[in-house]
Amino acid sequence: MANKPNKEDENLNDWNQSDEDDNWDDWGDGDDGDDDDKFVHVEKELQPQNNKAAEEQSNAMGKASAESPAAPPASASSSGWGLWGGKLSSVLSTATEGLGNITTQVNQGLNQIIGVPDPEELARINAAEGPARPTRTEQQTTTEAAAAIEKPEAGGAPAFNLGIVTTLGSKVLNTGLDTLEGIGKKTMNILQENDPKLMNKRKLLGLDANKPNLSAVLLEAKKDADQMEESLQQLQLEKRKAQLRFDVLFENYCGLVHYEALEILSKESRLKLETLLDAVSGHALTELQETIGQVQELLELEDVESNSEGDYTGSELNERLLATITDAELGIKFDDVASHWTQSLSWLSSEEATSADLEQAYAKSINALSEACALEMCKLHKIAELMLVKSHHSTANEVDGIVHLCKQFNGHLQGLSQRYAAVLSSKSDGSGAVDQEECKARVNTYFGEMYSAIEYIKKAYKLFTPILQMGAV
Amino acid sequence: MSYAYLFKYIIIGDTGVGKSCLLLQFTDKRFQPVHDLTIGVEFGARMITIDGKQIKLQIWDTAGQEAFRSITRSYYRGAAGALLVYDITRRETFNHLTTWLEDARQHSNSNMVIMLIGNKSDLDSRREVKKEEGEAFAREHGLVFMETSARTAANVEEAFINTAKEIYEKIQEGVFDINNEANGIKIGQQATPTNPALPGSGGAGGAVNSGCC
Repeated sequence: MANKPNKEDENLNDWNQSDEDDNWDDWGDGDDGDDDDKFVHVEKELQPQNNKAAEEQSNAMGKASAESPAAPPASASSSGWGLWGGKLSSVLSTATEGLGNITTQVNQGLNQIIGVPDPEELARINAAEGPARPTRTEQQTTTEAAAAIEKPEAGGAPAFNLGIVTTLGSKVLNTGLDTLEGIGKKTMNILQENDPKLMNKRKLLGLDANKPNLSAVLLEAKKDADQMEESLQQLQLEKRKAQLRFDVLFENYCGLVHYEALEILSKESRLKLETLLDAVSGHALTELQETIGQVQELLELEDVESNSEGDYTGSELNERLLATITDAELGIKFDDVASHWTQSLSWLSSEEATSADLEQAYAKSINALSEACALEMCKLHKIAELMLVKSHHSTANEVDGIVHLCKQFNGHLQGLSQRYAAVLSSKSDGSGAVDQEECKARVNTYFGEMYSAIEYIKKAYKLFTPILQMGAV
Repeated sequence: MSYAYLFKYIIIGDTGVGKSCLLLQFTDKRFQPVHDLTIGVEFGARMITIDGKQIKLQIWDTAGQEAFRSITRSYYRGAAGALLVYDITRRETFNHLTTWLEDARQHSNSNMVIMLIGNKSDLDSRREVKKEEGEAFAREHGLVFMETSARTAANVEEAFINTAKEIYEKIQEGVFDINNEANGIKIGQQATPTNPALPGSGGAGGAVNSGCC
C-alpha cells in the first residue's frame, strides 16, 4: 500500500512533465507500440469468434473513455495525440473485449459441446458477421474522433488530480490513519481511472504468466468442434458420393440381378453338361467332348475389347447391335439400349450439359454408364434364356453373334464414357488450377468405373460358354 | 438405399394370370393392361419397413409359358418367398396349382414362404373359382391365401408385405439361416461401409498427387 502511492506519484510526475515538455509523445508511442502489438495479437485471435459482443464492448468502452473526466492530458494541437487517443481507446476496448470474449466463448464452447449448430445456422452467423465487421471499424473511428474532441476539456484534469494528492498528503500529518485510508482509496480510484493501461498490462501479464489462458483453451475447444463438424459434413458428402458409384447404380438399375440370373443359368448348364458327359461313353463321349472343346476354343480365341468415340446415333447403334446377332435367330430387340443412347445424346448436346456443374455432370455421367451397362446385361441374360429354350441351334452363328455383340456392347460403353468424359473435362475450362485437378480426378474415376462396367460384360461373356455348349450338344 | 435385409421373392403361376401386373402394381403403383409376354424372368424391387427395419424385396417375376418352365425352375432356388398366382376367372389356372406347388417345393428350400393368390378379384362377374375353394386349397397345403386385384390394387400391398412379415418372423424364430444366401435372404449394410468411399478419396488422392508436380 505504501509503495503504490509513491509509484503513482512518480507516474503522475512523469506525465505532468511529459505534458509540458512534449516528451510524452515519445514515451507513449514507444510503450504504446509495444503494448499494441500484444493487444493486436490478442484481438486478432479473439475477434472472429465474437464480433457482436466485441462490438458492444468496444462501444461501451469507447463511450466510457470519452466521458471519463480523467482522460489523459493532451494538447489539442498535436496530431500525434489524436492517434494516441485512438490507440488508447482501442487498447481499452480490446482489453475489455478479451474479458467479454471469455464469457461469450464459454457460452459458445458450451453450445458446441452440447450440439454442433447445423450448417444453416452457421451460414446465418456468417452472413451476420459480414455486415458486423465494417460497423466495428466505424465505431472505432467515431471513438477516436470523440476522444480527440474530449481532449481539450480534459486537459486540466491531471493537474487537478495531483492537487488532491498533495493536499491530502499534507492532511496526513494532521489527521493520521483515517486520511491515509482516504489516500489509499483515492489512489486506487485514480489508478483505475487514470492509468488503465498499467492495470491492463498487469492483468494481462498475470493471465499469461500464472493461469492457463482460458480463451486459448476455449479456442482449442472451438477448433475441435469445428473439426468434428467438418468431418461430419465430409461423411455426409462421402455418403452421397457413395451412392454415385457404378456398383450401387448397377444394382439399382437391376443390372446385377440380371448378371446373377445369367450366372444361375450358366451354372445350371454346366451341371447339365457334366451329367450328360457322365451318361455317355465311347465314341459318343469323344464326339461330345470335341464339340464342347470347339465351342470353348472359339470363345477363347476372340477378344471382346473394342474402342469407340461414341460418334453414332441411337438408331445406328440399334442397327449395329441387331446386325451382330440376327443370324442366331433369337428375335431379340435392342430398342431400350438404343433409346437410352438417344436420350443420352440429347442431354450431351443440351443446354443442361453445358450449364451443369462438375458434381451434376458426374452424377449424370455415372448414371448413364450404369444404366447402359445394366440394359446390356439384361439383353445378355435374355439372350441366354432364349438360347436355352430354343429347339434348333446353329452354334457357329450363336458363338459369332455373342462375340460380336459383346464387342459392340463394350465399344458402346467406351463410346458413351468418352462422350460424357468430354463434358466432365469441359467443366475445368476457365476455372482455377484446383478445379482442373478436381476435374481430372473425376474423369479418371469415371474411366475407372467404365472399366468395372466392361469387366461385367467380359464376365458375362465367359458365362456364355456352357450355355453355348449346351446348344451345341 | 441401404437395407437391413434383402428378401428374394419369386412369382409363379400360369401365363396370363397377372403376375407381371401384380409386380408392376406393387413396385410402380400402376396398372398396364397390355404388355409383352415375359421372357424368362423379369425383376422388380421395392423397399418396405417391418418392425422398424428397412427390407428390400427383390422380386423375380417368372414367365408363365410352358416353354420357359425349364429355365424358370432354376430361379426358384434361393427364394425366401413365393407368390403362387391363379386367375379366378379361369378354372384351369386353379387346376394347375398342384403342379406349380410340387415344382416350387422340389426346386426351392423347404422353408420358403408360399402365398396363394387368386388374382383379378375385380372381375367378380366372370368368376369361375370361388373364394372358398382357394381358401380350402391353401389350408390343405399349408399356404397363406388372399384374393387380389392388380387393376384396383386391392390386397396387392398386403400380399407382398404379409409374405415378408412371415419370412421376418421365421428369421426371428431362427428357422432361416440368414447367413446362407441360398435361403434367399441377404443381410444388407445399413451403415455405409468404409470401402465405397474409395473412388471419392481416390480422386482426391489423385488431385493431391498431381498437385505435387
